[in-house]
Amino acid sequence: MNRACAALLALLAIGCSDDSTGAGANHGTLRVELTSPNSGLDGAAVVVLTGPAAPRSVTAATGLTLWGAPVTTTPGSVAVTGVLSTGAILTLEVDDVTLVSQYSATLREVAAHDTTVALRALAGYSLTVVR
Amino acid sequence: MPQSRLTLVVATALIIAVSPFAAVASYNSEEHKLIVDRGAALVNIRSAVLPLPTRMLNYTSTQMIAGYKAAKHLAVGIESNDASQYSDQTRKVQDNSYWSDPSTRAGFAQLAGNLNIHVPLASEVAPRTIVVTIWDGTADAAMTMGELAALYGDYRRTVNCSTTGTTTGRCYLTNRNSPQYVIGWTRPDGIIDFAYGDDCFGALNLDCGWRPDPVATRTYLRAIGSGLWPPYGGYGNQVQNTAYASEELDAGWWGDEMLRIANVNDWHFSQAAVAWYVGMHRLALKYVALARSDNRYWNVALNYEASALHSLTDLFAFGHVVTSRDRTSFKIMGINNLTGDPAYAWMENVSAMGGGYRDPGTGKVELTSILPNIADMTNNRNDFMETDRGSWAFVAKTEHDYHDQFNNGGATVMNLKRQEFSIFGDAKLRFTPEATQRVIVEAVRASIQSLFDAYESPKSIDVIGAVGSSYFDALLNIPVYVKSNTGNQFNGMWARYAIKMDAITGAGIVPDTTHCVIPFLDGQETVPAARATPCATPASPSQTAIVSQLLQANGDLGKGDQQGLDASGNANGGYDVGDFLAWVRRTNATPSAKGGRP
Repeated sequence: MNRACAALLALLAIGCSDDSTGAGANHGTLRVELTSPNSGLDGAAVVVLTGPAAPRSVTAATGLTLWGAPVTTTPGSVAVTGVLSTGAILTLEVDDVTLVSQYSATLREVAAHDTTVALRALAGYSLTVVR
Repeated sequence: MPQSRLTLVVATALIIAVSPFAAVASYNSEEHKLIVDRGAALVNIRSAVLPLPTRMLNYTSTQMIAGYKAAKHLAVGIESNDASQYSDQTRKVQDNSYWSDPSTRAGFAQLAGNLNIHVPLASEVAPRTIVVTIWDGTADAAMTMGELAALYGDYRRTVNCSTTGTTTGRCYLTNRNSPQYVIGWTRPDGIIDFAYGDDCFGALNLDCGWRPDPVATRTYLRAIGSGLWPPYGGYGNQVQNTAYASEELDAGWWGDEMLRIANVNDWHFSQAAVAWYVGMHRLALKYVALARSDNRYWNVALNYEASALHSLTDLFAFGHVVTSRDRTSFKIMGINNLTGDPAYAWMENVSAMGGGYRDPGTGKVELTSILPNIADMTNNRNDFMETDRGSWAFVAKTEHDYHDQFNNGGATVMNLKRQEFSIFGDAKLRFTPEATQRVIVEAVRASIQSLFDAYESPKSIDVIGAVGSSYFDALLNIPVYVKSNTGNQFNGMWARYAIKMDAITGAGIVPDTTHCVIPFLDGQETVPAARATPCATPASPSQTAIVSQLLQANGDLGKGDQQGLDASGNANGGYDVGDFLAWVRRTNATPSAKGGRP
């Protein structure tokens, strides 16, 4: 096999791979991480996701439940329920992880986990999107 | 001597047949007061500067209960709920001076009601309420919103307030100021006497010491608003009234007036009650707009609102949900040649402001969801109308029976927030579940609160008072669907007013159909047969709508469902993620879609 033929085969292989996922070479996952002043005390949140494109998929961290997926627009919103603690709460599957700086997540609402389900003031909360 | 005094025992079989206690009333006065004051206590008056003595007033529970005790003491001489403490030998007690014979129902009949006045426990009363200025014939006085809500509707038909000059904001609870001629002497202004309480004892019946001393009109009206039943005849005054029409300063006149009003009180029932509430509330909003530049109009607004709240709270009594009195009331007004009376015209305008349309032929009040521009009519202070039942007494009696039957039986109902609760009627508020009472309190709170919200709103009054406005959110609490009722006649049926109330509030949960709607029921109609199965079952909101409403600014969930989810969640006034979390927990819902693109 000459080098030209090998290169063609390699391209075809990539092409076959792309045919199954639609993803590019930089396809991958990003994490949405929560910083909370009430870690472990919250039970639900609404998160607004923004990026260069809608994520291919969104999944909630273990122990959390995701509502409102799939996200098909940007910005787009989802809700998560479960015990929310500081750390990763969502995983985003995106076309190009190198564009991580263009992705952002913001908290629109957070509610307490206890039976009051009271709405929290958002001061002290933050979300970051990381690779 | 006055010709109309109830001094003779004239009780024919016909009179007995058609003369039940004719006051087709609703909640008792102390119940109206209690529930309205509880709602008023929760109101935030925001930046409003109310015209003293109108204000939000803090009470101790002892102070609040004292008003109920004073009413019961004046009526029957006791201050507790233990009727066995009553003695007919106690002097200076209203009901010991107005004779009665319970075995024949002869004489005066208010004793039973007065013995049943419920003096609330400390845990039942609110720690504060809004007190509102009224004119009692002599001077300004302040009454609680609850007392006014009790008086308007059962003891006073119209609201009459001055809107010009130095008297702007003066609202009259009496027909006149001037001294009145009574039984041979002239009484001073502002004093209520018990002159017809002439059940006297001792040698030659000379000792009339059982009669209470005269009291200030404000004191007596406050007692009525706290539960006291004024003297009325055992046969519903079918034989005679106690007092002359002009003897407003006699306690018996107020009992007569209660019965005169009860003969034609269609605005407490079904569609007519909805029209009245919406109309009076819209007019209250009109005066709130004027209060933005002259705070004396707050008195006008709050007096109008008190009248609105009487009908609003009546709609939590099941007999008022299913029974209508508009056709009969209109006919009674007709035979008394009163349909052209200025006071009646004023009342009809209120109904029209609330989307009510009275068919001039049948007299029925239909609801429309078109609300006209808000306009009040000039009203006479004197709203006296001699509304005798005449040949309509049999029909009115049947309505009275329906009212009692369904109030006593009660029902499990649902409101526009899809909250389910049990309701009853007269004298049963104390036995009504606390969950139900909270719904009624919330209706009152939301209604009064909307006035203070409107005060701060930059919107015009026509926008605030338009169909779909949030300023009608109090109606979201009113029963609109009967899940089941004692007797099963209305299982699974929508109230007649449900679809129009849905439109006025923008709730979006009532199907636009005439199927499974409670039929018009008045004294000329018969009660439907019991149903073996519910006629209809309301569709629940979809999970998709509940989720999308949370995530999108303009979701698919109707206002009624949003408020219902909030009421079952963190109850902070709007649907949010806390309410969603509570719903997830309640229903064990799971997501219907995966996280990836399809």
